[in-house]
Amino acid sequence: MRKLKLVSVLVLLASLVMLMPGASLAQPLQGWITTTAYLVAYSHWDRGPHYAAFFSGDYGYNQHFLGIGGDAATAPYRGGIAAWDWYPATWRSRLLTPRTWLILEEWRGATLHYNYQATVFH
Amino acid sequence: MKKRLLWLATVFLVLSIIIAGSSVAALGRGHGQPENPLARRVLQKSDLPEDSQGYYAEQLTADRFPGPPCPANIPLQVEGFLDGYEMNAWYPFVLQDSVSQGKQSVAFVLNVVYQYRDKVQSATALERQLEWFHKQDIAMDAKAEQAGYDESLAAANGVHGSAMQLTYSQEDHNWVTYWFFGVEGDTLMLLMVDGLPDPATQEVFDTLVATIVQR
Repeated sequence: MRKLKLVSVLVLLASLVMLMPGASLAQPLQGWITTTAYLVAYSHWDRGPHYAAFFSGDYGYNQHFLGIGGDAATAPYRGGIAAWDWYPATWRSRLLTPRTWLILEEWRGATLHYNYQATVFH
Repeated sequence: MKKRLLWLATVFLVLSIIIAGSSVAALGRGHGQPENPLARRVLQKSDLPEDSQGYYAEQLTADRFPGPPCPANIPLQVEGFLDGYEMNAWYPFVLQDSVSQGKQSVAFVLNVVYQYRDKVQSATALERQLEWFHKQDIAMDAKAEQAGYDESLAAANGVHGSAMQLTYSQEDHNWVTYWFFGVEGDTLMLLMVDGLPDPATQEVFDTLVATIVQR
């Protein structure tokens, strides 16, 4: 009988933990992360349209292309992905992707957001 | 001892019920939020070919289109702007011109809907967008001209507006950007189709203008 009661208490405790909303258990992350872009789209107009891979974070660097051909495939386009600029200059949250690269090399997965990886401060 | 255990169990049970209740309430709030009515005004994924890529739609934020004035960010600065919603995607098609006939390509599609307090303000936003084309703050060799669209279809659906075509060179290639600006009451809509200068790019534009004016 005592064991049964102990088990009941434990079950109740377990349900308590399980029912706690996940968000309250998770700690907000802050720091440098290597992640992929969430969008490849029109960014802004400056004497023509500019496109970018959008990242959830700032001060981006160490960018790579994960699609067909990898970084090497980007070499003919504005010096390759390692040389591509970030925008805006202050926040560096958007990796500017040459339009010729996006449209002519679409078959490599150039327009797919998850093919762009970078390190950003999140 | 028996009573203590029973009391303890009751306390945990009550706590569990309270926490479960608040979790369900929080979930309900998340899912029960009314959908932004503008979300239905932009092109939906089902309006595009199945093999289109990167469909993305969200409420417009003030910092979405940074930088110099352009047709996409001018409406945000017009008095009376209340809310906006955008979608974008890469639209696949087959090139038709003689040199690259049969090759697969993509055009970028951007559709934004801006809502204002009244129709005067939405009309003002449209005028400012069109004025932009007369300023030379675009590519040096850019050629801006009126583009055709099905005006009678637009008018039949209560939409009046204008379409522009911008051709220019960038990155050693020639490009074309089609714009459609339409006003329906207090709402302003923008469609941009950007790609290689090819009849198929214009077909994409024509198809999508017809879709958004009937939405």
